Amino acid sequence: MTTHSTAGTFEAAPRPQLAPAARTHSLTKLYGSGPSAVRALDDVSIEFAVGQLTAVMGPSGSGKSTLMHCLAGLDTPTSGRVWLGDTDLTGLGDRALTLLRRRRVGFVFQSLNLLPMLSAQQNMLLPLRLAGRRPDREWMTHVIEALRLADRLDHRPSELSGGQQQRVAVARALLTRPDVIFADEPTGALDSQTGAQMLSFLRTSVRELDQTVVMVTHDPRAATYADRVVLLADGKVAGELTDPDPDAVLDAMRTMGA
Amino acid sequence: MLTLTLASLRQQARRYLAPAIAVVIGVAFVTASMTLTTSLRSSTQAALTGDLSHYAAVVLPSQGAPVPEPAAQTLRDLPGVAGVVAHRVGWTRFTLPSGPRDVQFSTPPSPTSAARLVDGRMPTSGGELALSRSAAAGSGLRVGDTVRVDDLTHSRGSATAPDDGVGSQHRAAATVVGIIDAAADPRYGSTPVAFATDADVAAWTGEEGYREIDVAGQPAASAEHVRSEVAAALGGQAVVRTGDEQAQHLLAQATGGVDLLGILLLAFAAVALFVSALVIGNTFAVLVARRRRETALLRCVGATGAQVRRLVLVESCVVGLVGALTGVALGLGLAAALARLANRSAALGLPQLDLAFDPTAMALPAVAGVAVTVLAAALPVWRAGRVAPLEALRPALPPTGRSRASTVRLVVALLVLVAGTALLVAGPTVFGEQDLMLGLVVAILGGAVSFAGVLLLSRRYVPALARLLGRLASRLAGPPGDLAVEGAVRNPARAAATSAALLVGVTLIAMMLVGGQTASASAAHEIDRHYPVDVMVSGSGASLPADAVARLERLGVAAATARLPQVTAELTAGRGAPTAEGMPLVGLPTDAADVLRDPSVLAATPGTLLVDQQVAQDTRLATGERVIVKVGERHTSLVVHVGGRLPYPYFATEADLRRLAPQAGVAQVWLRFTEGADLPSAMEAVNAAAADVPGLVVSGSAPERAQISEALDVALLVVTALLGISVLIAVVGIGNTLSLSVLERTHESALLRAIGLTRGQLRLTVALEALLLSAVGAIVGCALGIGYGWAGARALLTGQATTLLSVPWGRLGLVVVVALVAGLVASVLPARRAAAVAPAVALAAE
Ligand SMILES: Nc1ncnc2c1ncn2[C@@H]1O[C@H](COP(=O)(O)OP(=O)(O)O)[C@@H](O)[C@H]1O
Ligand SMILES: [Mg+2]
Repeated sequence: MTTHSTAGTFEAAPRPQLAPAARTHSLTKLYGSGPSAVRALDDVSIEFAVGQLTAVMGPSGSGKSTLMHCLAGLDTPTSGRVWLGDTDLTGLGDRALTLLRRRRVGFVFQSLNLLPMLSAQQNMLLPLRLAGRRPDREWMTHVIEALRLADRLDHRPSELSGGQQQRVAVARALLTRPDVIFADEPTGALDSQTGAQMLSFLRTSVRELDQTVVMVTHDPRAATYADRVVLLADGKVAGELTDPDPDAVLDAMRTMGA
Repeated sequence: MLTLTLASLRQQARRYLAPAIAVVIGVAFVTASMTLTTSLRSSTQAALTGDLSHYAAVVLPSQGAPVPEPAAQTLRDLPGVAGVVAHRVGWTRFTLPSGPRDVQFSTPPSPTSAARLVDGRMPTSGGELALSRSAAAGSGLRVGDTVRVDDLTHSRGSATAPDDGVGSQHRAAATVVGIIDAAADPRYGSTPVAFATDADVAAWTGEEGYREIDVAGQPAASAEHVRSEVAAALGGQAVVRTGDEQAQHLLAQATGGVDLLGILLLAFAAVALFVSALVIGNTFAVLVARRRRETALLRCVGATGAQVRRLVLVESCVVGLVGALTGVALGLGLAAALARLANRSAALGLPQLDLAFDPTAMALPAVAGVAVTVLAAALPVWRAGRVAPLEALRPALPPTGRSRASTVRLVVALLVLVAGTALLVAGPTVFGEQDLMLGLVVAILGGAVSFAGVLLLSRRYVPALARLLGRLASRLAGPPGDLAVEGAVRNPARAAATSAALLVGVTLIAMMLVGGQTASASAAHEIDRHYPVDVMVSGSGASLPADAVARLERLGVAAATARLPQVTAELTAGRGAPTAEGMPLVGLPTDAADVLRDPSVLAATPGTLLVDQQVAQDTRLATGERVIVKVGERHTSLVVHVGGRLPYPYFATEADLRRLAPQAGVAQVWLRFTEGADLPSAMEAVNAAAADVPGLVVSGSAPERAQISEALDVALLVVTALLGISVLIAVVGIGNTLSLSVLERTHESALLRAIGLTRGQLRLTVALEALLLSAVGAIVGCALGIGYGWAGARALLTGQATTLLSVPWGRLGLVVVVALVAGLVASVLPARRAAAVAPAVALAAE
């Protein structure tokens, strides 16, 4: 693969290993108010290291998506703090958060990731266009090659398979070279084979393109692609695994009663 | 099924607000215009026909000869007749301290007349007078005053206004005993009238018969029976009609047999309904499209296509009914408010408007509203029934490109367009020369057909134009511009329908503006020819006092003045007896051209005698003929030149006139007002300047001229305002489509917000989408309006002046700006709703 030989070209300036890409302190998120309020996140303090693929796992309703939305500046916490790099997100207004998402965050959602009226390429370039930035041609070619999308650029989303659509979404996230890419159940709508491909693309992004990825999933197999697994239950961190294998993940999930 | 319908209606109430508003406005407009038309018609009818329908028969002069005097008594004695009111009408003169004044005399109003005594009493015996308000105001007479009345018994015989210079030897004294407000009776209107006993009117005016005899029938006798009895008794000496027949006759005379006002208002109502139908149909189409998944799910769990259709159909009926009823109520309120406004401002010159609540004016719009809603919803409803159960599981596909059907559609649309345009252009040329009306009808038909073609084509050019304009938008606004274009053209049918609704209104407004301006520019020459002199001041004597002339010439409102001499001349053509004696001959000075609106009307060359067309006909004079003109002892030979309609019968150059009468003084002063002078105050200034000299007469065509252009302006304003309603409906349509699109794209909006579109940019995107759609509608509408306006003016002016296209760019620009602003306003709520989407919530909801 050519990506091996050229990967070094795209390496960013060495980042101090200690500064996390994102972290929370005592993060709490309530939906609703009064006694009927739902405590989606309860006093969560966690860090996500640079250059790692972290999987956030847990049963349905455990607060995974909420955590991701708070980390990505899509939602504001009820209490506690959230940092992206060294930017404190708590207290930022809607506009500041939007600009931050545009410049420093990439997203891959479970489905309906793309705007139906734009071509694959237009979808990929949208965040850059919104920011008024020109794409780095070399980087773009590289990403498109790595995601094997070169012959799909002019297609509309409706003309792409589910896996291709997700790859376009990954390409869109990669093109801005964000500080963190957040992926919420990126394989949720894919069959197992396409899902596996998707996961290996995400891992390639981390290993060869030097990105940081936080991925929400409840698929134990997905976790095996991750450097680290954070387990969430009832809005609390329930444990974590480093360089996990599927059995360890399944065991951990089982003990949580998922 | 009913529970489902109710649940669906309740859940979708907010979405149905959009089509309901379109129905409400459309129906309200139709109701208001129908109610106003019926009210206006009955008010006009009352104003024109007065109390005629109270009478079984009306006897009228036959061939201008008054109804013979004995007829009144003959009729009174008929068995079917209960009573008779005979109206004797004639002219005579008051001698007032300020000079003589012509006044119409009449027997007192009938008991059923709308004329009311406002002071004193009616004249009951000889030597007594009652004056109409206008007569009292003009003469300055009050109850108790005495006035001298010329007695014309021996000198006159016909019912025309007395000519100047007819001698009157006898005078009678009369006492004013009452003042009558006679304006409400169409027999008198605002004409100054003096009322006196039959014997006095006969004596003073010399009128030997009746102008009208109203016959009241016995209660048992039918009007037709009385009419034939009366007709038989009079034996062809007079025209006899039933009261209702005469009322209809007067109405037909006044309106030319055409209920123009009603036709116009209904035409606008039809336009409003058509635009509503476009908007309603589009809104339903969007609703059904939005509910595809839901519908498919229903089909999955076992609903048949027919059941689904019934569901949507019932919904459209409910929406139509609620909208229509609300619309009728709103329309009645609107009509009442407008009637009040019209009654308060007399500017329109309409008769007093009493609101008539006509059941048809309420039922018809309501039925039409429901019908239009159901019809407009029919196509989407039919489509809803075709939704396959599997679509619940499939992602929504974007509309596919060119199908066979769309090619057929294109060909049909082009054929319709070409055929319509051909009719529009050829109509006036082929038919208009012989029959203006036929040419006009063919042109209107062609216009309508070609416009249908334009609407059929809209799916092609609306997206294309939106893209073109979108380039500008993306250059100015960046990514929101791009997104707006993509949003606008995503569904060509929807974009076309949205913008077509606006297109209709703007096209019609632009057509009226361009047509109006083109017609009046082309007709300006006609008007100048008909009304060449603004003001003519002439005296009764041979020449005007020098100070009066100087005063008139110093008036600030006069752009130019001219002094004209006048003599009394005798004309002889060939060797025969004099053709005309004692005729006024007016001399045209060299600077006369400065005061004339159209100098060619009164262009006398040395040695010629300019003769009025009518006078030339009466005296059998033809252009090129030589006549001898004699003034006193001097005479000269001039060549006749027959002109058009002239203010005086004969004109010669001042030099020619002075050769005949070297001492002739200034008999007339003519004025031309400065452009844009305020007419009422200008006329007042002239009248004030002329007032000090007794016997000065101020005439001229400035008032008529102003009236014509004012009438045109008012008509144009009213038409524009009425068409504005359709623009309002169209804007509601834009708002509808946008808010539904915004709902449809909630997830997309959230996605955009997540990847970095700011709230402001999202709002801008929605606003730009509205602007693009309205810009396309407004610009195409203006372009079409220019074409149709020109074609319309051309059809109207067939055989007259050549049609000079004159485009009121300023006003058209204003129309475009208004349409754009309206589109922008329509986008405010949808934009706000789009921007309120919380990205996390919307994404999590998937
Ligand atoms: N917008 C919301 N309003 C109310 N409750 C919510 C909302 N979003 C999530 N929740 C609740 O918060 C909890 C955590 O939700 P979520 O983060 O979506 O869980 P997961 O992604 O792990 O399935 C759940 O109990 C869910 O019902
Ligand atoms: Mg989730």
